[in-house]
Amino acid sequence: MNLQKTIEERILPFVRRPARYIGGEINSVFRPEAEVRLLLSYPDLYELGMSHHGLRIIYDIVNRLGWASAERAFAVWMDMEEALRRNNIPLYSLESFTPAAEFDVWGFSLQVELTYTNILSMLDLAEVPRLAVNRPWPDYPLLLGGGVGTFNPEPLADFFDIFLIGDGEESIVELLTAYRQSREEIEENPGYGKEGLLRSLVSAVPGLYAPALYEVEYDEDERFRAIHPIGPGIPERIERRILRDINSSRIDNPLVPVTETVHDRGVVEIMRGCKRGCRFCHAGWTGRPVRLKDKEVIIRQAEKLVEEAGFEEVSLLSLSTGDYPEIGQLMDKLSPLLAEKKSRLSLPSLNVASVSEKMFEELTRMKKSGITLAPEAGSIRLQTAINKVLDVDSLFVAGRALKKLGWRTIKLYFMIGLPTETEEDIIAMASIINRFAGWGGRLNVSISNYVSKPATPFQWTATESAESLIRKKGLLRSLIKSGKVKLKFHPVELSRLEGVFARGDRRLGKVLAAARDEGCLFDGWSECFDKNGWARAFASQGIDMERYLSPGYRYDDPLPWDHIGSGVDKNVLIREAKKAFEE
Amino acid sequence: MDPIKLNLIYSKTGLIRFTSHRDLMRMFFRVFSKIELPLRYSEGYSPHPRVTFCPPLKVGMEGMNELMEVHLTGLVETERIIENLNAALPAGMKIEGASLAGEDSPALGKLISEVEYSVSFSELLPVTDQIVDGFMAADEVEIERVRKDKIKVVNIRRGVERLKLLNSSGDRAKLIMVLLLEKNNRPYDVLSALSGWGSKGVAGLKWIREGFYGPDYEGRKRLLNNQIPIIY
Repeated sequence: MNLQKTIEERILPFVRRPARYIGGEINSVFRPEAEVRLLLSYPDLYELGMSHHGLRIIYDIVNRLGWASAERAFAVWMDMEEALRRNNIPLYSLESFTPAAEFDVWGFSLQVELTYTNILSMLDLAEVPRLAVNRPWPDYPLLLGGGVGTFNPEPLADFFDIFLIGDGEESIVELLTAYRQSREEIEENPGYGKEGLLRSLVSAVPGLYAPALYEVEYDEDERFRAIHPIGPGIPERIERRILRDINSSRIDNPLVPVTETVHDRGVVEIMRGCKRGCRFCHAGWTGRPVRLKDKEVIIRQAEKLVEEAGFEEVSLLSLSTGDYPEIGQLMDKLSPLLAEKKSRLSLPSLNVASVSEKMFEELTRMKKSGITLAPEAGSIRLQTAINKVLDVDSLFVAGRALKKLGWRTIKLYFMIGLPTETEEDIIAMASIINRFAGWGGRLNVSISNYVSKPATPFQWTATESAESLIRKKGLLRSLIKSGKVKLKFHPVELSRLEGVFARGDRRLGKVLAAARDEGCLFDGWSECFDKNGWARAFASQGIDMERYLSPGYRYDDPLPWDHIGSGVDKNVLIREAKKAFEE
Repeated sequence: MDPIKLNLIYSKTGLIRFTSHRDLMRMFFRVFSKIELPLRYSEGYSPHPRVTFCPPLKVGMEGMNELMEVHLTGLVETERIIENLNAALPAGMKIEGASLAGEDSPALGKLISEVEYSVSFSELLPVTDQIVDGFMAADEVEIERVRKDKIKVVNIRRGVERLKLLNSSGDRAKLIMVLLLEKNNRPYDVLSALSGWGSKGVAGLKWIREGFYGPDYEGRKRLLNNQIPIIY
């Protein structure tokens, strides 16, 4: 309680948005007497971390177990970090103000490479040693990583003890159960140590990867050559977990954020995985096979969100909501049920090719503001190469229809730097934008920079150079005539850094630590991104970041993440990649 | 069913005091939805619940007798509403009392004209009875307010109805201030003027908004069926 009082009286009155650091949410669970205590973290601020659906699912599941508990801690802003340090207060959980170091397992959600420096910062603030080798067990929590980042966890291998690959609903329970059992055994065999624990966990839980149990080989050229288990009984390859019964994934007691978050609404996942197979898409390729939640289950879960938490808006979550079979029927049924409870439906992600006129009408009844369309590439040729083809004509007609229905804003998403992209494709992109500029309302265009991701058909391709991307941006800007278009680009250096870590190997761990020590933090926030700090970090560790971006890999090169099974055969990925490069 | 007004008095204490007014509004709307309170909605394109809040409480300040007016579509049992709301609200938020009033009864804004604050501090803050008396005896007390790039000189004495210094136990003192409920009367400014401390230092002290008063004391009693802050 001393900790809480000091925080309450000496710190919170003086920091920005103190509500991020207080907990006390409806449905937050305070059970410090649990046998196994898990701390869940998303390595960004509360307002972003609380919007992450995966963390909420795991929180709910673990807190239902009875013998285990899950609490939360998020990254703190610089002013809060300074205040905590000044007062000698470690990073703490929101539920009970327990110092992070006192938990049994500390799980991080790895979604965005640019949050990795925040992870190190949180470890430092918790006074938990960064390197796994410096954390004897059980003196320190076991560090666990989950989420899409685990499909290439190698850059974090020096820091994390374990990674859970794939769907977490079943594996988290298995992990905590195995942990609880192992802990009893340790009491009888004091010589066990962490390695013994890891071996035991890895054999008990499929989909669990313990990097300390593997050795990495590099060739004379310092390129990755191979990764081997250090001994027998350790899997050569770790296959990701797949939750077959998606209907079983639910949140019984939804956390209601205590302050405004980025996506402040009730969320029901309706589909996992995506059938489209767009060749650049990490989430799509690592989420297969497609699993659909039953309509009745979705409806019940949506109603429950309003009944339990009073959410005024409910969102249907999936990678491509328009692809859910009979989505129109689902919306037809759900919308009035929610309206009765004074709530409404919101649809963040739509593949517009599959959206019918009826759906637009439905959406119109709900909330008229903006709609997002994501063509990604400008020309049919490039769209075909990336396997995301959209009928732009029908999109444009849809835009007109939207205008009639009273919508005000269209947002278009594009990417530059896609594999095989040429100037022609940029010109084609400009013509789509110029055409939409006349739709009748506001047009916001967001251009991101393509980055090659692991476990996708494009995992072998180089990421484009900064000069080339900047040139293309300039070309695009010069071709956009209308003042009605708001064009937003993403910083090239940010994307390239993301690309380095996305397909990185273990040697990047040293660079990450050096970057943190150079002051790099909240790298995903463009106002915080420190290009020079990162440059110094790479230089001080003697690593050339360019090597991770280009020239790319050959199909028969060993890849640093080959030992992580994404659920898709490599030959399938190669086949897809070849289709893109054949004209 | 006949529309009716539900007047609520609630407290916001503990850690939850660090949430903002917008957070508070969202919290209440969600809890009203959860307990299925028969809210009345406004007309027009984007209907919203007809709820009136008292002036926003500063982030970090506790509120003991906060007021809210909720328009309902029909009669409710106030005891049950208090129970249900308190069960649903997060820790630190508590409904202290509720009463029903006719649709035509005066609006919340008309009923309140003064607001009382208390602030506790240690002997480090140089405020004495003499300083307090000196303040109240003066016709004018001027402070500078910076807005954008302009400095404006303001007479804050006007807005102060009452000031009283209480020496609680040991080295902690408590200042009670009653201010006229006008936008530009700021409690932090009053303490800054008395102590010479800047607004940042003053903001970090233990502040409580004790309650509101009406132009007519009887009027306030009609509004609430609960505690009334004591005038020192």
